[in-house]
Amino acid sequence: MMSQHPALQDLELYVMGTCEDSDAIESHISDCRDCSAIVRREARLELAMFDLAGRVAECPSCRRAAASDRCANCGAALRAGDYRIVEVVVQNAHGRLYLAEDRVGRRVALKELAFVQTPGLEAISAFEREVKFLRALAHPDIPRFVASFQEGEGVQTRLFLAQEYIDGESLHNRLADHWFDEDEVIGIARKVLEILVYLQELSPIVIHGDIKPANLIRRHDGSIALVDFGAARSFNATITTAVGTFGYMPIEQLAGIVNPSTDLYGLGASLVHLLAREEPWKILEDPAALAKLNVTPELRKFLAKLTARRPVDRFANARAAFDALARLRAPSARRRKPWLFAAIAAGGLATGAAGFAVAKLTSSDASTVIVDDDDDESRQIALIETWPKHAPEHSGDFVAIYGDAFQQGLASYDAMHGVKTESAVYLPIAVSDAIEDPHTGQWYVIDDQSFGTFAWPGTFHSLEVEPAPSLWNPSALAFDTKRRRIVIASEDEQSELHYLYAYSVDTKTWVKLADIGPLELDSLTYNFADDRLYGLNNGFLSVLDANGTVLKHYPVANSAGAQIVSAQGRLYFVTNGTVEFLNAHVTNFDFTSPAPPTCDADALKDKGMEMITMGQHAAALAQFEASLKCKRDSYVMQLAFMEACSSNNATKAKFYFKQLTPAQQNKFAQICIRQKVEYE
Amino acid sequence: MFSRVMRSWHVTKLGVASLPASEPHLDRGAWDKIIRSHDRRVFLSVLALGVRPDRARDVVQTAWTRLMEKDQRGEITMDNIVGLAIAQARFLALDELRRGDDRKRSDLHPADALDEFDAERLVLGRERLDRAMEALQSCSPSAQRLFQLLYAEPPMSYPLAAAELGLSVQRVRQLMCEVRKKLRVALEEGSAP
Repeated sequence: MMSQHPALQDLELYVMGTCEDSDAIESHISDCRDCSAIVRREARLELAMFDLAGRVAECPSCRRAAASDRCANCGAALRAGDYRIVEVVVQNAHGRLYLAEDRVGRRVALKELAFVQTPGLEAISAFEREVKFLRALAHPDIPRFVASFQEGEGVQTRLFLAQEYIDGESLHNRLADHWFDEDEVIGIARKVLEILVYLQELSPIVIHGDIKPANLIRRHDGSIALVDFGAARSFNATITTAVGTFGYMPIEQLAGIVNPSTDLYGLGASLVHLLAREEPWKILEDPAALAKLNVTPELRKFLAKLTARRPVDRFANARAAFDALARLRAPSARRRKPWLFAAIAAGGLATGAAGFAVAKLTSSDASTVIVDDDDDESRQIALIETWPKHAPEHSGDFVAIYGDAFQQGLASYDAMHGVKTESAVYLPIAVSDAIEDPHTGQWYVIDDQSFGTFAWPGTFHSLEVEPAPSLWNPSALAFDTKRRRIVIASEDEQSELHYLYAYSVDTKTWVKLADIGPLELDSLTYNFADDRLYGLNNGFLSVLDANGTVLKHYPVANSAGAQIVSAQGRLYFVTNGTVEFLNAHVTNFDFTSPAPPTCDADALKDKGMEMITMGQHAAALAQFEASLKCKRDSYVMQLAFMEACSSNNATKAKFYFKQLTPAQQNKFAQICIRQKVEYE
Repeated sequence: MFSRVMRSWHVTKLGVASLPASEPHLDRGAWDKIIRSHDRRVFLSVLALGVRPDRARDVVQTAWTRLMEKDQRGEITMDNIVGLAIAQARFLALDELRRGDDRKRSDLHPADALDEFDAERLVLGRERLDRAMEALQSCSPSAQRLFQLLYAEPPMSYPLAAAELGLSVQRVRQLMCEVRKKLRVALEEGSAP
């Protein structure tokens, strides 16, 4: 027992639960009425503080305490309609863009237009235009309209537009720490032109009117979405006011004149910005300045035509620009790695009946093939998969799926004996992965909704009959040759949880192998040498046992659109037109990929820390993820988990939670718990 | 895991092994999390009655056990579990005071204790809430953030909150003492005799 009264502050710390010698304090207050009275008073204050915390909320913008639906300090909303505000994404004098959640946790981008500072007619018109166009448009790379509503009256009026939240990073922000190369820019151009083709094939034509890097969002899977339709117009609409962004709009748009080439100019200016890392007007005011871009003459010519001063000198419409882009040489052909050239020159080149070229990789004794299409350079290899025919340990056969904007084709190759005859057969469905039963020769394919058999020259028969599971967006296939079953990666209807299903090709029965949580596998392969499954997921290579239990994850660089391929017991990392050997044998390899030259993990981490201090948790998470792609670091992994929780990103929280050590899990789980974010 | 969590804040033994084995509404892991998050608040609600800390721990332990038993019989919903736990603990503590078991240990008469535990004193009325809000908003942004981390559901521990804010635990304690000082003044205004 303490002989003297403890200090008042020690009694206070005892009640706060953070006293270092609570046993001595307890012993004392059990017999001391004065100190007991102080503790009683402090306990009441503590309880009042709990009550207070339950009745105030934390402002999602300035992080100060707020007692109502709007922060008294910064004015940001805490709630609007049925939505809970998670984060302020951007704000200006007339409104804000929030990341918000509805009652069941679905995320939306919530745009707010406030009347406190009397928005101009143009701001109101832009808001109404965006509502009108988003309601009408339906394209996977344009945000889906969710709801629009009004709150308040008079100067308190606020208009809200809820639209699909595009989880990604704008190309404008990406410029800060990323150097775009020609291949990437061509890929972006292709994706944006696909959206513009859609808009320009509507009747009447829809002109976006404000295409710029800030309105092009790169999702984590590398796809591009076009946002902000506040400047959009129908082509036949009468226009009295110029709307757009200086530097990205052609000169005639300043006079209110728009046509299908308007958006092409915006795209061209954006691409120039990405390549030059300078505001485009500085380059486009002198067309000759395009020469300083470090790109091929073909691309320079394409950009010059997109950004021509006179509308008549530009492409007539998005389709014409898309076709012209397709005629540019394929990126893989232009930038092929030197060792591949060497392999081709050494005589490993064969030409198939349909003009496909197969180059055998002679740098190892594995029969990996590189497939290229010499006849039509617009086609790119979307995927390469092993084909372990008859004797997997000796197999070198591959099947390649080709994709262009219109169709997909399937071609098979036998690297040991040359090109097979079934090449360039176009598929009746949009196949995203395919595999052949090595014993029966039966083909199995998945598209974006289903799984089934495929027979030459193009008959598809769905296998999703009872008692098959309802596959939702199957993403990848692998053939487990040991158990003669096809393993399929799929997801639930909310696209949040992912599962592995197995289909036994002999008994034609299904089994749900495993719940793999947030692991959305873009590619899956079975490796007979170690009886394991390998999958690629958003920058990580995941190793699973044959029953789908996740064993380990490895970060891999440049994984967007890549495939993991197993052949002869070895693993290969396949990107567009290139194959990288993942070191020696799968039982003894090191997946660590060298960081790209511009990649600075520490700088990215520091930037993420800066974002935390600004309360921008989603942006901080993106920085930490970029840092992790650069260099795997346990501390950054913790930060990524904390920011996934703080930004209410359950998918990422679950993913990073699994990466933490048990001690870290115990320590940091509370962050998700208090944000009510599922993490396991 | 379960007993380790119990020891982490005052409660040492819960006797869960004696609970019936029927299908519970919540599994032990879920109860583990609930108790870890709210045990301190329930303990404080008993301590505020003037009950000795060791007795308060016993009372809180019994309260949680009873709630778990009720849950296993399907007699409670989880909508306001912390409120139920506080009510249960308060009932047990006042019952002891009425029976005189703890009278020597408490410096309050049961009637006074009941008065001390008047809901109005613990649940902030509009006027006191406004004053408390004003006091809270006069604190620095980091102190406000800290307050949310430590007191909003589910409350964080001091080391975790310190890690979240990149501060030392000592600095976090200091900041919270400053916040408490302002809130103490604000809440005592108008309630002085």
